[in-house]
Amino acid sequence: MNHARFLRHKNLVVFIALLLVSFILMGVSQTKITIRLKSIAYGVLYPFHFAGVKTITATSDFFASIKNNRQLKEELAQAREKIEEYERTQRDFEEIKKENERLRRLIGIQSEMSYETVIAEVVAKSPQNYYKTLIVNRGNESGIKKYMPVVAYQNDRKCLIGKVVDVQRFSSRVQPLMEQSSYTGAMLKKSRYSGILQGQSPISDYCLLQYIDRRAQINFGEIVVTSGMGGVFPKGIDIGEVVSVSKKKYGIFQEAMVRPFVDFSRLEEVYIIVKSVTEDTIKLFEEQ
Amino acid sequence: MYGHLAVRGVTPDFLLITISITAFLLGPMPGQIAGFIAGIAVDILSGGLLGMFAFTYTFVGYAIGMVGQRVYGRSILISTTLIFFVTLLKALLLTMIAALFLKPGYFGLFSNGRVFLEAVFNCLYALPLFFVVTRFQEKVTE
Repeated sequence: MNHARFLRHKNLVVFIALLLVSFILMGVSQTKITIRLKSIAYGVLYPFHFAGVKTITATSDFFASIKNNRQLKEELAQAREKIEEYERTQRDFEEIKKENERLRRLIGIQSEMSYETVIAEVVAKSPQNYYKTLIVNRGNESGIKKYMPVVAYQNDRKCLIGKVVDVQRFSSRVQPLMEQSSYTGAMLKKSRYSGILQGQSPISDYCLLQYIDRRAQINFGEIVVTSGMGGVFPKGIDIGEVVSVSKKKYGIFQEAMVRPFVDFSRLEEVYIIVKSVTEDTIKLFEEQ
Repeated sequence: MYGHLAVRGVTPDFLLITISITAFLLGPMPGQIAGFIAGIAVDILSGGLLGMFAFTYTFVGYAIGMVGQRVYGRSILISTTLIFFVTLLKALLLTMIAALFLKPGYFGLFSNGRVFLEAVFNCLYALPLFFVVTRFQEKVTE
């Protein structure tokens, strides 16, 4: 009797069961065990996702290359010229670098601290319109660890992208600045007032710089850089520019809306800064 | 993933189109199961809230499957119109789930006409896909 009733309503029963499972998953989404399981599942799915992305990219590239054959030839010639130019520049640069080092030694200025970086190719972006998550082709094998900062060069500027949040053997997932759960220690480059930069929404192109001292005089277009506080991001990396300021009548802080310099839609390669994050910092992140 | 197809940063949702066509042609059971599996995969790959897209796509698969059962024939116009409305339904469900588990207005889906643009995209891409799938189904049946 019950079996017959089930068969009659099986569509509805399965529908309710699947919705219930989804709802329960949402409820336990942030628990440690779920995050771990999700990471394992991501490791299993990644090769298929990667293969899918590569197939789509290869197909679209194939058709594009047929269509733009002439243009490609012109671009190739231009690229060759550029390479020659870059080689010349590189030679000049080496000379200038040596001269600069010699002069620095002479006047006793310590060299600016630089970090070791690993170049990574962006192999996939989130399959939906609603996230800006990036997947890059470097993982454990290349020495990448969780919470390592990620930067990119765009328009001759080194800009902050975000941090690594999930590492697999040959790939990593990068959380961009715009994610709501992303917090970055930042400061105003000119006035040196610091604050905390929080992502607003993955589809928003802006971040909010909070807890800035009320006395700070913030100008439109003022550059915001990393403050180095928090132990994750090195100090002085460009983040974006101020587009609006909000100062309430009362309170000790003010806020500024920041437009990041990086254009995520044009992102092809990123640099992961090989910088170990302390255990204490990791614990703090895990607790968040 | 389909960056080259983007207009104003919006791309078509091929998973939604596939689930909708599956559900419309095969019924609510294959539709909702396809929706659940696809949704879980999206949740895992996006790194977002686990279960959010699984819930949404399951709902969409079931809804289209139920409507498809009640529609006579394999009308391309009806299926395309349905895809327009389920894109809006998807946005509504995501907005509600985000308000419940993340932050109200988290996705900002209804701002700047993003959803409507995506709905139009989905319809445009669904048209040829539906045509090919139905022709293929007819050949197999023959």
